[in-house]
Amino acid sequence: MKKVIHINLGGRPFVIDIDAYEDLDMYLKSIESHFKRSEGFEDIMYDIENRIAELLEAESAKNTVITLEKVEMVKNTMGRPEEFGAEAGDSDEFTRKRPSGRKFKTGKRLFRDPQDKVVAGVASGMSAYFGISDPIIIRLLFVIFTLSGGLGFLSYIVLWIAVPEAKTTSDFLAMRGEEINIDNIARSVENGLKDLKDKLDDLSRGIKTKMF
Amino acid sequence: MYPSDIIGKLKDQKMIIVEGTLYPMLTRLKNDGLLDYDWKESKTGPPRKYYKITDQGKSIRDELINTWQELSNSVNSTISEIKK
Repeated sequence: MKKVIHINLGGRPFVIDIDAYEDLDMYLKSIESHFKRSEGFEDIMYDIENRIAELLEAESAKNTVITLEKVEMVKNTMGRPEEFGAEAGDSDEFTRKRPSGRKFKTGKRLFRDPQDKVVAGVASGMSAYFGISDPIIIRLLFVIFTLSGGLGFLSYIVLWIAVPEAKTTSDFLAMRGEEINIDNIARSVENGLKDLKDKLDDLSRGIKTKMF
Repeated sequence: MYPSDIIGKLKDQKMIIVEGTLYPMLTRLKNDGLLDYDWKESKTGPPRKYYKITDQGKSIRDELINTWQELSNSVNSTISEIKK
């Protein structure tokens, strides 16, 4: 026999086992902290709570109690907060907390650029960060410093290890200091697709000339 | 469409496994003016959001469809070249 409590979830009343309640509460709180800084936070939480209530209603007949099992089912259907993806472009996206607890804006973040690399994308990442249009300048600097004492080579290796590679679209946007919102993401995707299309056109043209 | 219908359609097309990704996306699209919603009363519970696409949403959608078709044509023609 278990204790139960009555809850209001998404505007509907439910009777729920106490252990199931605690599990669900923790789940909702972890989703909350994931979206806390997003635009439309209240909307998102409202929608998610509503959907969970819908799922539980569909699952259970009229006089049944919500058990731990049902909460697990909900969690599997809805997914874990980590799977929900990056939040929308608040300027909060670019703030980091210092140990003293005060936030500061970083704007740009230093990444290695895998799309424009000769060796590891260190020079293009740095050029993007400093706003230099042509990475050749940084590359020349590395070469000069390497030839005169080896410092350039060593710093390059250190940067290769320490600076992360840009992987996601938001990484690339942050690398160039652009805000992460749907316009920029759509533009990035379009540009990527255009590049891909051009490469495929080149490829098919190349194949054609080799075949005939 | 109701969010639960959207989820149903995506599942039919095998495009969604985890439902939670949908809601932040719907909210973001609404905040960017690509979607809008009305509240519809429900006899079996609280009112529900009913989403509609906006004109701005339609033009972005058409652009994306175009881009996808160009891409898929390029890929298909390359594949058929390779098969020759």
